[in-house]
Amino acid sequence: MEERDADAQLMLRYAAGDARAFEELYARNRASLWRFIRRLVRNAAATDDVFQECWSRVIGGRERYRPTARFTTWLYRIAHNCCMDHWRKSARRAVHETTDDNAIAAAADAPASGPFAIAVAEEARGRLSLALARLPEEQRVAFLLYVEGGLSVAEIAEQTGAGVETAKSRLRYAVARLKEALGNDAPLD
Amino acid sequence: MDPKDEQPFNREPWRRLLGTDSGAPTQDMDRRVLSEAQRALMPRVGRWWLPASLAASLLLAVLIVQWQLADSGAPAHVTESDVLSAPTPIVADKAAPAAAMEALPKRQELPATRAADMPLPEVAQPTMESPRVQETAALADEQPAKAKPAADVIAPEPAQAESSAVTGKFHALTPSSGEQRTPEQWYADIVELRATGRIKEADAELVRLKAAYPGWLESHQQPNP
Repeated sequence: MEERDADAQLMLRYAAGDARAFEELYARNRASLWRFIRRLVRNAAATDDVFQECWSRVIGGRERYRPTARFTTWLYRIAHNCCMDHWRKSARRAVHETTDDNAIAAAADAPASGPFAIAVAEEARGRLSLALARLPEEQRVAFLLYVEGGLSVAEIAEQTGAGVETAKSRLRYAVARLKEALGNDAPLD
Repeated sequence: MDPKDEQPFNREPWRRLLGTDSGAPTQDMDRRVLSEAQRALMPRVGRWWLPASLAASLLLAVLIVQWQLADSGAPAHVTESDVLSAPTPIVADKAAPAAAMEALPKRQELPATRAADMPLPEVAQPTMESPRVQETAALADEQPAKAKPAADVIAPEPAQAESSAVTGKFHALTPSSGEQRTPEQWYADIVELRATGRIKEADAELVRLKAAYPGWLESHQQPNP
């Protein structure tokens, strides 16, 4: 919770004119946000566009930002909206991309092969990426907002326009499918 | 809502697993985002420049248009020196001879060439008649001798004007006006002067008549009045 408060404080400092605060805020959230977008849009070039657009909206909305909610809630809400705008623009082509494309992209992201343990971890990560890509869009969005964005179930429900029970149900289905795909490599609850 | 219900599963192990993904934004992307963030803070200082520069441009354009309109359409300001240097007699009637109109436009054509040197008009511009009134007043003292023939001349010669004031007759006794009359009319005037006892003036007019129309008295066999 302190980290989230720290993000909000950084955002407030940036809104007051402190550019260094934004650098720190960006460093804290850039990687997870980029992965979130990458897994939603499933296209490398589009990921860059959506990622930049997301931060542009954060920058443009700095004066309107109020720390009534956690910063990450606000950030991932913006990111999700950017993704939806991208889907609208591209006529939802991303949904029809084959999972093979996603698997190839995931494989391209993998570092060079190393020791056996690393290879096993990479193999598990590849299966996770593949399983994520195969999830229905609503479940994938809910799972990523929950894990990467740190949103609560109620916040996910609000963001996606669904009821709380529906959001919770989507999360449970998503985790069940991912566990099935990962087998013994799945994290324990 | 029960807080436990808000966490259907522990997200941290999943986050670590997803975090092993090596995907990340490029350094170029980082630079673009950070530079945009810095730029967004800078325009606060310069926000007033845009409306100020637009207002200045608009004002400048209006001034230029007004200046050009003043140059092309409005007559030039009539100065005293222009009036005094005008060589043309001022004609009262509208049937002014072309000679007078040729001399007058010499000043009216000036706006095209001299307008840039002249001040903008400060008062209502004179009409075609109003400069004549001014010039008439000035020419009455300054230019009687140089005046060219005209049908009706308003400005009297100073000496003649003085005598006219005495007699109440303000007509026809100036050299210039005498030259405009026919010799017969001029001769009749001289006879009238002599009849009223203004002998010297009659003699002077006679000399002028002879100078203006040499041989006319002899050819028409008129006796000296």
